[in-house]
Amino acid sequence: MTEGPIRYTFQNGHFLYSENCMGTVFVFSGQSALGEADTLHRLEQAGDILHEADRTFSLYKENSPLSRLARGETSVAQCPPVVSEVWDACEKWEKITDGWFSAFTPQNTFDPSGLVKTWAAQAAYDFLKTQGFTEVLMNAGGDILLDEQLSKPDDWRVALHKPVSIASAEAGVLAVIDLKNTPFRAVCTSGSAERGLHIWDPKAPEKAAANALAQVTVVGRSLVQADVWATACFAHGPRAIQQVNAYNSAHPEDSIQVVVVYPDGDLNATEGFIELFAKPDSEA
Amino acid sequence: MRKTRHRITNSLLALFALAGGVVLTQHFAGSGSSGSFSTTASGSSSTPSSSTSAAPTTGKPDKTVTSAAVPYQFGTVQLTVTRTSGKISKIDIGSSSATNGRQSAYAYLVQYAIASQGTNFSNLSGATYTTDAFKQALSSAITKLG
Repeated sequence: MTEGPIRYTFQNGHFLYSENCMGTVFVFSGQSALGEADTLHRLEQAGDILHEADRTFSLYKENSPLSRLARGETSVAQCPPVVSEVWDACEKWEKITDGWFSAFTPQNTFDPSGLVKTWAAQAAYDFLKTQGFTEVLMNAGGDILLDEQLSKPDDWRVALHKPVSIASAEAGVLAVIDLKNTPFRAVCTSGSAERGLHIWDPKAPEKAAANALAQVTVVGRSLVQADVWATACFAHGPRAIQQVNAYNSAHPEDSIQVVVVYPDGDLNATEGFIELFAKPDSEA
Repeated sequence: MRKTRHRITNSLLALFALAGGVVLTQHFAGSGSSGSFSTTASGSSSTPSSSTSAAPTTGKPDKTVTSAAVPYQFGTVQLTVTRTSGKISKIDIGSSSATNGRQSAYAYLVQYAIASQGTNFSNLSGATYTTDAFKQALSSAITKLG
């Protein structure tokens, strides 16, 4: 566990905390009625939830239950119960996305990495909410979850990064969306900007890497929903927009909004996304 | 250049704000560089949409204006913008087109995206960055603030 650049700040009940886990950085901010030390203790417990999920599901750790499962050394039944839970969730999302999200690798092993990060992040977030923290914002390595009630207008607004690495010279904002007075609380982005082509197309021959889009951002009702759809849309490519438009018509209560960036920089989006763009004069 | 630099600074500051508790201040809301629609007409002589300036104004009369058909990378776009009580209340897409076989890829999305760039925000969504990329982004933001 390496230390982040800035681990914890606490001022007038407002906390900011970062946890390095799963090769990325999770940042939590919010309001706490507890003291500085007690608040930190709870945040570290939330961090432990992430690390526990990483220990179980990481395929980068040779002896994690998932690595052993992938090598055929163990069965789902012998793994911790959360493995079966995540397996079921993956199957559920595979059905919902018409097979465009799949946790089965080109080698036919089980790789729930596309879901575990946000699944664990949601669990950490939920824990913090049980501790009485309010106005909680989470940035799980680029995937955002907003609290149900936020008093500051800025907190409802989420910037979407350009389809380049945040560390690159071209880093910058593609657009800003405003989720106030919408049913959406989660914003997840998939793309090749940070980690290269790491999403396979479950329907392509040999499950080749998907590359028709540079980036997909999904605005959803829950973190896992937005994350899974972002992966699915990236795998599907440009036609994902039509898929999601049809899905939204059939399931208005679970509707999501999607904006995609083509490799040449052009945009496309689902019907309704345009209403989410922040208005430059919305603060007037 | 100035505009570009501000945009970059803005996003990195947001990251920095997340990790460092720095208050993200408004850099350019209301300024001419906040991405009013005319900005993207890039030198077009016809910029009627300038009346939709992002600057919040209360005294201006309600008005509807239609822009010239502006060519852009993939076709043309023409917007009709309605201002009510000093705010943009409606934007309609007139005769817009897109080429490259992208039947549903419309220039107006780009226009909206650009217009939104000047807005404050407190969080940044992007492809899952590595810990190293995050640190690098932070350190370069710090350098720029330097």
